[in-house]
Amino acid sequence: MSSAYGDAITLPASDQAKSILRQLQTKNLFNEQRHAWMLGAALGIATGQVHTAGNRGTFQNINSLDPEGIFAAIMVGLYPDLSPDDRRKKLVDHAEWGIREIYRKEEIGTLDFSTLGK
Amino acid sequence: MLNRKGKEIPPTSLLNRQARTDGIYAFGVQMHFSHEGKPWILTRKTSARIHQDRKYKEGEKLHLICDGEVVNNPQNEIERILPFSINRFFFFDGEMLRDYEELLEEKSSSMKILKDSIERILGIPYFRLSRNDLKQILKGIERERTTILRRLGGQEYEDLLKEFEVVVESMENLEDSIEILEQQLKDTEIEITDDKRRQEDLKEVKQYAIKRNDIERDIILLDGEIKIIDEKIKNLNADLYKAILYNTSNNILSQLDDKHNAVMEKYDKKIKLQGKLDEVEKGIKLQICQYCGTILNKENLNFLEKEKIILLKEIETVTEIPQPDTSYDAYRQTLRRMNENIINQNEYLEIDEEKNSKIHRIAELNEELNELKEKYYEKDAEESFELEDVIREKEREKGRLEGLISSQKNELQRLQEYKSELNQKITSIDKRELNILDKRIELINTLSQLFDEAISIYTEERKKDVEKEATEIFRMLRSKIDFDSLSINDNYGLSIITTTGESLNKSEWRSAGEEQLVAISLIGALNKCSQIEAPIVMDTPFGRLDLKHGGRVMTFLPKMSNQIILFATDREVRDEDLSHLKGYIKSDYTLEHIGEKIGSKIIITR
Repeated sequence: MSSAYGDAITLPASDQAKSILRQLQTKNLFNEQRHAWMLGAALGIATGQVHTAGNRGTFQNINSLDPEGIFAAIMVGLYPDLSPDDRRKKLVDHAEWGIREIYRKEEIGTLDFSTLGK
Repeated sequence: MLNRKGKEIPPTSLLNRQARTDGIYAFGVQMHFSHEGKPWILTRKTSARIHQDRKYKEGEKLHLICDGEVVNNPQNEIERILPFSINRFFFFDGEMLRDYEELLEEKSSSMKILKDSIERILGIPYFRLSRNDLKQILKGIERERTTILRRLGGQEYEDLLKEFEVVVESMENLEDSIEILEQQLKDTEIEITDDKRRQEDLKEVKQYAIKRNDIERDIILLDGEIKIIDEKIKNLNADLYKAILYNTSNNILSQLDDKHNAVMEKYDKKIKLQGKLDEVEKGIKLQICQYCGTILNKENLNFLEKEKIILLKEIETVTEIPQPDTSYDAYRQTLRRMNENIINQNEYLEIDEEKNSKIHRIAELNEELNELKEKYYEKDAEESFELEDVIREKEREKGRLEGLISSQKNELQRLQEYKSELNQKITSIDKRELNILDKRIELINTLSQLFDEAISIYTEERKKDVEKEATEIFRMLRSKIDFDSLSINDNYGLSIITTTGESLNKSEWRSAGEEQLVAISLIGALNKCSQIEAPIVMDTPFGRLDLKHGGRVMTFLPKMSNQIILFATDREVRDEDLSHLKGYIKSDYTLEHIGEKIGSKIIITR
């Protein structure tokens, strides 16, 4: 799957996204921060939304964030013409948006996992 | 200010929390009511510089205004309007049902106290007061007669008079002593009843403790179950991204399929061309047709050479990728595997429902637990060891008092007879001035006797009235038709009489709801027969009644008094129950709890 993202072995996240991921875990919604990241990425991809602003630092290993290569398959399918680096950046953009969206819904009390993404 | 058990409420606990935070140490209550055709305003308030019970008590103020005029001595006036001793018949607290059940226990000592309250509500003490007044008049006349006799008879009647005076004095002393002893006996009986009740409560402590442990264990179990549910949710959340990617994945799959098919088509073509080339090359080399086996001539071989060149060119066009690109196939496999293991988001709904029901149950249990703790902490477990001895001691004291009263009453009886003998001797002295007094004494004795009989007859009649009214009410409320009527005993205790004439006392009813119906019947009857007119205030009146009986009681309420004030929860009185009170509801208010600091506010519902 490395061809989907090139030679990179980690994915980055913004400080704000990292803070949100910590909070979502503290609120007992997720066992691990990476689960919230994966849900955020899926949400961003499914809705086509991205968040590009903000400085990003190393977050977690790609194999942790995409253990089954599902995001790689999806990203190659959605963005076949992008370079691996751009594809990786795009995935992170989707995740950054999705993470914020989950947090926003949680804050206003409308986070409903049974209807999320529908 | 007293709580429902008659114990004083510390004033500090009545202050609004917000007021306390703001440093306002003052509170009060004002009641507007109509009585005897006049408007009244009753105000009770207090203020203090510091938040202390003693300071609030010192600052207590009571004002009563009648028709715009300030009433002097307001406490006396309130006592006249609604005596404290009978307030229980106008303030009915469903949660204090046990007190009302005491009304129905013939042997209960509390019944004797309640009997006084009931007789007062029926106006019986007025006759007793009149009879006592007559006794005082009699004593005055007897003293006057003695003075006259001493003046008229000199030494002649001195011994007789002295004897008479000694007897009268002894009788007075005995009567006083008996009165004191009877009061002591009554107090002792009340104390014994209270102690026994406390003892009974203490026995409940153990049960409370067991029940509390059960509830706490249930709560812990439910908490554990909720944690498991939370884990389930988190596990679902870990895989939820797949469900969200499902539609995207399907779209991509079809694209990847197209790409894969295109790559495979090229590869297949190359393989086919390669096979054909092999055939052609073999044919050229062996000069034999590989299909029919005939020997090839020069012309045929040239044709094969040309075909070989064409095939090589064609193979060259499809050999950009020597092996098919399997990465697309791997992506497809990944997405197919994902699509086969998608979670059903409806699972969340089922889990949420399960979790909510457990949270709801925990809330119910916590409420139950708080009530239980409240009851539990009211009991003092240490008392249980001492209480039995105290009760036994008081029982002995009660026996001693009863013995004393009995012997003193016998002595009083003997003196009464002796006094009558002396009286006869005195009345036989034929003096005109004395004769007039003798006639007065005779008249007063006759009147006293008349009052005694009147009290007995009046009490009996009023009791019959109460019995009749209580029966009528009971018939409106009962559900068992074979419960025919109510019978009232000397202590105003009630028994149910069945259609076969059997008398059932409380122990045979066994149903808390029926006890409540009988208690309501008695209270309703007492209000009907009462000499005092006042509104009835009922708090949680339907708590122990099922829907059918609750409905019947509600239908009866408008007949109970001219004005009824009901404090009921929405569980006790539902919207559909209001049909029972149709046309009788004057006002309807809702108490809404705003928050710990602000407390509750009153909303006009209707």
